[in-house]
Amino acid sequence: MYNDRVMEAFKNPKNVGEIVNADGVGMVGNATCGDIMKITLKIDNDIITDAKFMTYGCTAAIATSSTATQMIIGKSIDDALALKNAQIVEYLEGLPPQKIHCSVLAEEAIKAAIEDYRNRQSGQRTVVDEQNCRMV
Amino acid sequence: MSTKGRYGLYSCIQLAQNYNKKLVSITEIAHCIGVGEKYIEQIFSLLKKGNIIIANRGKSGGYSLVNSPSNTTVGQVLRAVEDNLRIADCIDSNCASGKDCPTRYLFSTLYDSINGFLDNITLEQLATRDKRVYLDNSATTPVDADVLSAMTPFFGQIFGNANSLHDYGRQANKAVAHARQQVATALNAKPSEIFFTSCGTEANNWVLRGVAQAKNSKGNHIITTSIEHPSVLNTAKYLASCGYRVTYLSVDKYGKVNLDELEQAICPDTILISIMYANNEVGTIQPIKQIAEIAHRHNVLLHSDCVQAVGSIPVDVRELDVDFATISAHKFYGPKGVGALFIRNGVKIDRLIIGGEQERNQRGGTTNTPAIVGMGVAIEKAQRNLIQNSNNISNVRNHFIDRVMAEIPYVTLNGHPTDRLPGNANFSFEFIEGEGILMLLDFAKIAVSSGSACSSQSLLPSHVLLAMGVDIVLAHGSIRFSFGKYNTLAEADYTVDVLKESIAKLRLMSPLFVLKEGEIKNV
Repeated sequence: MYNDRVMEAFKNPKNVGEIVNADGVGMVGNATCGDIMKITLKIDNDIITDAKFMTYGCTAAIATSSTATQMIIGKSIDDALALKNAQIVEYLEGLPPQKIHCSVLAEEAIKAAIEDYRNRQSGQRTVVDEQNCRMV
Repeated sequence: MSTKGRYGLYSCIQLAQNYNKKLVSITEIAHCIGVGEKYIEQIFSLLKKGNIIIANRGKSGGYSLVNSPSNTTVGQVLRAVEDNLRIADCIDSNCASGKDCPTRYLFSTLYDSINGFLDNITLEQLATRDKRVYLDNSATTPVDADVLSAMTPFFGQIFGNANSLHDYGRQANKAVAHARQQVATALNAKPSEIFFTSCGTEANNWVLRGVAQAKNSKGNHIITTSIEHPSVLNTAKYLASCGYRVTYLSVDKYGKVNLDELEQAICPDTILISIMYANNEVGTIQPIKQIAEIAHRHNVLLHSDCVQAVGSIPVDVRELDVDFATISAHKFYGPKGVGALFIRNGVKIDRLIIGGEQERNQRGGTTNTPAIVGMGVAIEKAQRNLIQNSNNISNVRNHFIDRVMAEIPYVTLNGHPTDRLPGNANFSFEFIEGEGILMLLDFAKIAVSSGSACSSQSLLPSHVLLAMGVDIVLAHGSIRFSFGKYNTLAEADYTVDVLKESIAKLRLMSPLFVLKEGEIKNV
């Protein structure tokens, strides 16, 4: 069902963890549906210098979050915002149809983290209900 | 080959199993093999000289392989430790006959083939060879060797169509009759009450649709449970779409039906009750005998899907007093592609598969002689060894459950504490999702099943666990381990070890776990 590339990304995920004092935090998904992704970003002059993830979910959820963090490190926040789930799927050389939603979740997690960063820049606070986060 | 070669190879396999994990000391290896450290030291110095292993000094020092196990061949190891692997001295001696000697030709060719063979096997292959653990016996079981050998002639010499009049046909027919007797004996039924089908699903379809059709003048109400196999649930759903009324009984937290609820659900137009004997996911065993008493008091037919029960617990259709029972061969070390339906003599049911006169006109289709023969042998053997097998299996399973519960935090055992199949252990691991656990176990060559939503489109986890009232998030993190007669205590131990690592790895990635740990720290 999963190709070797997805299995490898799941087996040896990159950027697992949480950045302490992150500049942007995004958490999406819902435990009831079986997926939650939390992405933390370190941003310097609108460039993402580090990204880490924590994921509750299946093989594809972990593989896509790992891949997403790899794809945005070193990118400007505008480029990271432009990242589409299809690019994550392409990077992983395909996902089973019922797992595409995992890549959507990864895209949403990045967007949420950058939104949080922008809110902080403008002095606003993002409300994150960690127990029951936004459903995608 | 000398003991040096064998011990050298054994040592390297140990190093391969610990490659990138830890260094292995001479003391450990000597202890494993049961020889003196001095001897292993000698062998290790040869392996070092051959650039196979490398010593790492220091407090926690030890040895490791120079190259990865997949890049180290058995040939390399043996050549490093053996002084002389040649098969005959003449190969590189200056024998007078020289290159023209025919025996020299033979031995040098053999020598080359042996080396080629040994160079084609890597340490990785040897290190992982025996580590395959199959803990998915509720999904299917391997065909028992006795079963396979009984089946083989029926693919070849005795290939006749069991319905043919000639000798080929008569021989096949005789074998099928014998198998029918074997199945009947095992279930305490009469041979005339056993109908072979292609699988358990077919038998379940047959009962529900066949009774619905045969009895629709009496009524159109069917009672089943919310934890049945999809072959019952989806057939019931289909019948509901055809205008039948279906009641799905609830179950308690252990997966048991409530007998009062059953009795209250029975209406004057109820034509069939279908309740599985043992559940495929959590292994809970239903009180079929008491259910039969209620059903028959109200003059309603009772079907029990006994697919998971046969071979694991006694199934006596007279004792259970059921009107229909479904069984499937591949769940008790028989072949796939064959099942059977027990239909009590005198009970009316319509056909599902219309065709020739096979199965006394009740089920068309050319008789699958080899599979039916296999089923007969398999059920006879399963019945003969039932007590012994189920004792052994439940010992291994109980040891496994005890260790998991003691060594892994945040885990719950799903199902009934005592009324469960001997091989079933179904756990929910908090904060993580079942599919990931399944995959990590699979990487370690351990095969299990998951009750998570991940293979389905619905995003909903196991309908059985949800019906039992298991929290949906916990249901996402459920794994079924199903033990069989070939599993050992050592396999259970190995599985616990890998499971602990896998659970820890996934939890460290889980935001839910980190939240929980935070709560604990705050308290």
